Amino acid sequence: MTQTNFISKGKAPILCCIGVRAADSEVRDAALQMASAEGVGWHALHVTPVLRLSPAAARTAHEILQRAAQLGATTAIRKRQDVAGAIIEYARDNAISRIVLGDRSTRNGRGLGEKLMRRAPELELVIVPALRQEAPERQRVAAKSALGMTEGAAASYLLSLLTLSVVTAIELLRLVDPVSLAMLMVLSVALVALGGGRRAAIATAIGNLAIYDYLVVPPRYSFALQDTHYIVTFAVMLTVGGLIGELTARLRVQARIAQESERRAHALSAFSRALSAQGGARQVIDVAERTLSRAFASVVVVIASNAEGELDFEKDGVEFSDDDKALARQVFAEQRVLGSEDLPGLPHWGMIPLRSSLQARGVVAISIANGRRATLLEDIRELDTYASLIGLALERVHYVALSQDALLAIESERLRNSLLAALSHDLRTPLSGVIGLAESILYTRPSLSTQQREMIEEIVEEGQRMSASVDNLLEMAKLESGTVVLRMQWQSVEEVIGSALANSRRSLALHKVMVDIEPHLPLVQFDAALVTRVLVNLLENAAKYTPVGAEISIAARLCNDCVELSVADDGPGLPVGQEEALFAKFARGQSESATGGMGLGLAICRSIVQAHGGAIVAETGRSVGARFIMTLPLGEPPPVMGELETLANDT
Amino acid sequence: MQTTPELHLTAVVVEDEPRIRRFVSTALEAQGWHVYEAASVASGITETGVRKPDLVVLDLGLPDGDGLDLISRVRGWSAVPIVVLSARSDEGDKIEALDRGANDYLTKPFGLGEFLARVRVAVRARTSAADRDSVFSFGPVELNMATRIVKKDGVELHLTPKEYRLLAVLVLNAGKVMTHRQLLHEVWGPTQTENSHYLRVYMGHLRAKLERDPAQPEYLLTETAVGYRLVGL
Repeated sequence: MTQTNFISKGKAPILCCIGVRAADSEVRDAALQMASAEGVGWHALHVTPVLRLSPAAARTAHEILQRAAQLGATTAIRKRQDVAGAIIEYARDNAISRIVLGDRSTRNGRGLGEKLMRRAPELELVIVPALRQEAPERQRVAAKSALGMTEGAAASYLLSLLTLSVVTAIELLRLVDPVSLAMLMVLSVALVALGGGRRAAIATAIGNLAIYDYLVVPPRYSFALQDTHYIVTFAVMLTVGGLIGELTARLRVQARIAQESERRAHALSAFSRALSAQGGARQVIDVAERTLSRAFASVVVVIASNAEGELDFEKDGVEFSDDDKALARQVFAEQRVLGSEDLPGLPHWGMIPLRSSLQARGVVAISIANGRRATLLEDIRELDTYASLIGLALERVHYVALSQDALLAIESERLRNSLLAALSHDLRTPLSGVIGLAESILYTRPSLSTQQREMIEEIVEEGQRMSASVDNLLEMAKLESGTVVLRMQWQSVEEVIGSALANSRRSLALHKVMVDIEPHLPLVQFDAALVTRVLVNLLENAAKYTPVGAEISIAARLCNDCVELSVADDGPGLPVGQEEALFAKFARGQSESATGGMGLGLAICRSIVQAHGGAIVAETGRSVGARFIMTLPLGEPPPVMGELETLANDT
Repeated sequence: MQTTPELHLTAVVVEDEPRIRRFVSTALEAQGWHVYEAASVASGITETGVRKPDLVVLDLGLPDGDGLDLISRVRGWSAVPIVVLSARSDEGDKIEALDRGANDYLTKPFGLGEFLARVRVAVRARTSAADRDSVFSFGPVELNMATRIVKKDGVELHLTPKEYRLLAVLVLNAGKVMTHRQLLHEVWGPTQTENSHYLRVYMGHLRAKLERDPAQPEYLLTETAVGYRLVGL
């Protein structure tokens, strides 16, 4: 992918190359001036040759870079023997077309400029003359490399040739004896291997052999072999040459791989940094598409999935055929990278799923333009790494959005709760005042007349009725707002019936109350306060809608997987066919009844029972009156520890 | 409503709402109490410290802080009965107030008759606790702490050790609302304070043995979601 050249026009950033001299700060300043004059970004790069750099020199370079970073540059340090190569690579990775270079920014500064020109003619070089304070003058230097891609190989063979001539010269001048010459030849092979690679090394070894045979081995100046023990010498020389060539070549390959993986690691970390700076899915996708399109020199598109798990093919300037879409959906659904088996029928895009830790977030598609089909599998493999970064970034922004929503929900719930609390306080406090002050008149001396007493008592009763209505309203509001948290505990049915009867004692004073609880009922899990409220509402309804002296019965019994609690009366019963409608809010048995109430009681009962996973129904019979039945699910009550043996004795 | 004057007793009423403070004071004064008023946590603590009252009536929602803090502070130096008034119907506040040492609570709006009854119980519980007798009785039940014998209608009953202990704790705190946590701590120990279902089971046993109608208890009363209270002693 680095073979593709990029000539970005207009807003391309500027790269300045920082060496190890203090004067290189001028290069930095020049780049800064250019960048700010044109309003473009700038980078500062220092390449450390692997082997030679004193600590002091490194410090200088780092200081210059640090200042550059403070001045807004993107800074980078590369460890590479091939300085020019590192610069070119960095420029290509960052779509940089202009490079600012000190005149003697490295020990072979001018050489570096020339190397850059030769190897990357598309780059525009700006040389800052050394030790000059004025603005840099731009020199556009353009040169084409004559050797092109074969340049490296040619140099290797040239080196080989050179070595051979040296060896020949040494022999011709009789500088050393034949044995030392053989040693020199081995050394020469090693040197060539180091500089030119395996083929040049083997060529050198063979050339050496020929020279040795021709010049040294008798008969001299002939390739003929009289003494067969030279065959062993030749074999050894050839083998050693081959071995050295092989080993050196392996070393070179490993070094190249290391460099390549370092570059990839840099590119990946830069990519992941860029993604992590993005706050929304839109921005993540934009950055990913821009960066990858540049890096792969092809159109790369991120097709994200929405909340319903469908891919969003709406992309600016990109049209997907139905086949493409089908392929994308398949890759997305199966969560696999396309393999070679998919290639023959492959339409126009290579597809890679965006994986994250929990679910697929979409698909990355790379356009297979002319000539890219050959490298497709390799591209896809590399793209896969980027895809997982994109997937993770999308997941991160997804959860950021989720947590923001959750915060909002918590905030609005808090607001609702405090509103209800304030409402409750503001309504209950004046009511307490009315009821309490009225009542306190009863305690004052001199005592009131009977008539006055009765009026005061009516004020108190009205106040209490109003207070009950306020309670119902607030309770309904609380249940409606969904902020009620059930305090589920293992409760005794008998006890909750007892509490309900105690709470509605005053309303039931003029009625006959029957209680029928099945013995040995298990504990049932519910919110005691709320279930007591249901029973109180039912009992008070029964008292309200039946004549004085009517019988009201409350019963509890076991049914299948549930406990059934019922409140029945022998009053006039419910309007036939309206039983369900009673549970609606503000519903009342008779619309113009003189009986007070807002019709919230049964709606509250139903909300509470349903919140417990139970059910409540009303029924009416010809002879019996109204009956309200609620069922609560049975569970597995926890054991009671501590006194089991005595309990057994008791029961 | 019967009115039995309780003479020479002092009460501090801590309540920021003037109308409620007024009728509570009026009602207490009509019963012969000498009443000092406070409208904030700070002045409530000062008044309680200075007046050494026989009763504190406390509103939980005060302008300068939470009435719960006052309970903790006062309990640091005094066992004076504290009756809490609360506009909040949330059981959590009541439980918290009781756990911190309040004797009783009333939810606004409350009836004055009920309020005065609770005040009487709270004050009497304190005096009876002072001259502790070993024989207690409520309704048909008689409990002898010295012999650990419990009788109903004169007939000796068999209680298990835990049942006896639960009854004894309620008797010793008669009139006071005991939270689930307090009862579990007293009867089952500090590690079992979350197992409120133990109480439901044992309270059921006690009611079955001591009450005339366990479903409509007269003495072992339930304070829904808060705890239990023994009355009638």
